[in-house]
Amino acid sequence: MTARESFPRLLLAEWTKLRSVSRWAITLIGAAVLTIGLSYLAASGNKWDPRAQAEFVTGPLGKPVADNFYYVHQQITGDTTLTVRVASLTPAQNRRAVQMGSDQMTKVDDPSPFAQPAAGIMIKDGTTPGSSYASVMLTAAQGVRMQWDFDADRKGSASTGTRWLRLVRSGPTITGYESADGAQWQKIATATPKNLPSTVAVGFYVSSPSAFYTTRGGGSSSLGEHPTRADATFDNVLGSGATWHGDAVGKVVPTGKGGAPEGQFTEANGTFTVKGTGKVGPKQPDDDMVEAALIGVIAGLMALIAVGVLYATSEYHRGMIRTTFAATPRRGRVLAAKAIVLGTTSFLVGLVGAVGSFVLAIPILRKQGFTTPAFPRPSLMDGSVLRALLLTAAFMAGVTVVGLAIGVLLRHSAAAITITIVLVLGPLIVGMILPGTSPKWLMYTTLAGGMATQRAKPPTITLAEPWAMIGPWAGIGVVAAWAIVTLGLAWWQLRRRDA
Amino acid sequence: MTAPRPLRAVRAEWTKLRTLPSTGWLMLLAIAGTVGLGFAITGSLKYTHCDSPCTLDLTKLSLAGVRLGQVGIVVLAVLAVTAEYRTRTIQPTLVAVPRRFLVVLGKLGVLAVFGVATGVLAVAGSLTAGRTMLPGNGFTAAHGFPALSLADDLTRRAAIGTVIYVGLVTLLGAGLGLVLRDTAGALTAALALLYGSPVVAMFVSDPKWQHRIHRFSPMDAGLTIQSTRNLAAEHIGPWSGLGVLSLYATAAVIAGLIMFQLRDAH
Repeated sequence: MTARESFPRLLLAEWTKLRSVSRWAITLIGAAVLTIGLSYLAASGNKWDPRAQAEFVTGPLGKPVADNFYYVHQQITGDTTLTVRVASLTPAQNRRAVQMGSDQMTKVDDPSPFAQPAAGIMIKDGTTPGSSYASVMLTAAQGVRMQWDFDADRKGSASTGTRWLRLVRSGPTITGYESADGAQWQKIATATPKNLPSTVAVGFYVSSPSAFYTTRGGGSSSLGEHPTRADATFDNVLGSGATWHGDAVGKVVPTGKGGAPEGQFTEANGTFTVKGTGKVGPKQPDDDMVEAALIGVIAGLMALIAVGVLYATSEYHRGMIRTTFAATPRRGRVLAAKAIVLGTTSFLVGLVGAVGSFVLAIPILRKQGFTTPAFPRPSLMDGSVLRALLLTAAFMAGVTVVGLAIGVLLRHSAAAITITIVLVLGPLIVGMILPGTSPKWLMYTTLAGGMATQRAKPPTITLAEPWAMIGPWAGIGVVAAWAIVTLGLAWWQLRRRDA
Repeated sequence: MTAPRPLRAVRAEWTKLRTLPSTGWLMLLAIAGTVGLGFAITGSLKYTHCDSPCTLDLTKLSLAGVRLGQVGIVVLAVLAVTAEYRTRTIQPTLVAVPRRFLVVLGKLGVLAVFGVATGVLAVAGSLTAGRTMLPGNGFTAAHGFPALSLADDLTRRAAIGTVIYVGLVTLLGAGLGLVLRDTAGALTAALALLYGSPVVAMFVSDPKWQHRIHRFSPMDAGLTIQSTRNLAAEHIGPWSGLGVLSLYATAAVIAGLIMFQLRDAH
């Protein structure tokens, strides 16, 4: 028999072993049932505060956005061109915010170009929050940008000082330009906003996103928001010559005593001084509906770990391993076959569990306050949802294979199960208690990091759950590294030791 | 043989457990895990990094290591029961002492003694570690943090409660072992029961449900007794929290006793 023929046979043999032990087959089915069942039951324990919904509006693409800024505008019908020189942009210092950045609170850094204090010009479908727009702006730290519809962002020059900006509307398209002197113009990009009626608001604006501070640890987290303000001066305003109106667009964050005002503008000799606050861009709550729908994974995972470990150790209890090795003397191949069979099976069990949880829990979560505008309905076909579900199944499969490898290494069910479970759960419990961002390193080094696969949203440090601090690919990478290293050690030990 | 029969059964169980090499290692693991994590936590606290007014619960933080260390004693308890089934020692055991009730009670009694002894050593070590580390990090009497001492009523309650906690999780593990008779199953069930609920509570965002989960999960409720400050913020009273855990342990032990009486040993 050639080697090529025998490996599929080996896979078949290992599959038969896994399938025919009724206790394991029941546990495997039970793992999927546990996952779905716990997710379904726990979904009604999740609630999203409806008061927080007021901070979100739905953008033209159906996603939750922030649309708060101070807008000096006029109405223009048809094709138009607006040119403005931004003479200066000065983010106001916030003393209180500086104080908050002391020991206990961590400032949430947002590298997004939408999270910059900015002064620019904008063409927008009226002043209703969430309406379509295109803008070019000078940002405080990320140069000149062109953005539209809360989603698209194109980089212009890295200029920081004075800058000429221009928007040209031609039918459904808007083109943005910038210039150092008002004579030599460079094109940045051409935008086609989703809804652009013939009459639009045209003008210049100032925005300055709030600073966020977070404390976490001891099992909970809190987020503090401090409004900031930016001051800008505009001159050489070349538009239609009609009267300018100033409006604070959108719901401005309550400022409290001594906070930033909503914004204002003054004009003197063609120079406009504008104070503004707020953010124009995507705004997602950090809570993740997909993650909330997958609570049951942790329960299903426990059952899978038990099967994974026993799949290795039971061969030793019963002396079966000697028969196995007599039939296939190349031990590495046996280990590979076991890992492939177990990994595939547990991936499928995990996938059934994850998809089932998602399908059953999402409708309940929508009744519990996870609704628009903050939470658009997630669909199984969304890239991020699909990624979360597939990676969650891969996480479950990876941990199960680690259980198998540790089982081979230790040949002792109790020790192997305990170690694998503690590697997943221990860092979660400890990471929940540890303050600040310190649990990040636990997540990068232990199997607990794999929990990050359950999130469909980007990593954040503002939540109590420590796994939210790392990205899903980092999470699955950690699990894959553990699987490879433990399988390698198991292979080395298998060759070295007597069975 | 002069000793009365029940005592002989207890002595047999004592000998069995004492002479297993894993017993000593697992107890050492439980104690070292508890003291080690407590040491790491108290060593990393700094008075200067604390909000003012600083309301850290130093007793609770010093004893927090038991959350990790308990794994050792739970494994010990589960193995003490299930290993007899795997190695078939259970048959000679029952031939020697046909009254099954005595066998189980002897085993549970001996395990409880091991659990409590482990608890005493782990708590003593953790408090000593806290007492040594904390004053050096600025937690002095001058700042309103007298050295941890058993003379303090609340600290004493926390210490005694933690010892009882360790005893109860030992019985919980043994009870699950008797019900499931299978190392893998019992161990997975025990660890999932202890660690699963705090993780689920992290997922759940409704405060009402979080409160319920913390109230009725064996680890969170049982360890409420470690709190010495801001008791009103806890989800359950200190002794009723231990009560919840003892309900779990009692239920597991009673179920185990009944099944042990009814089932064949094989």
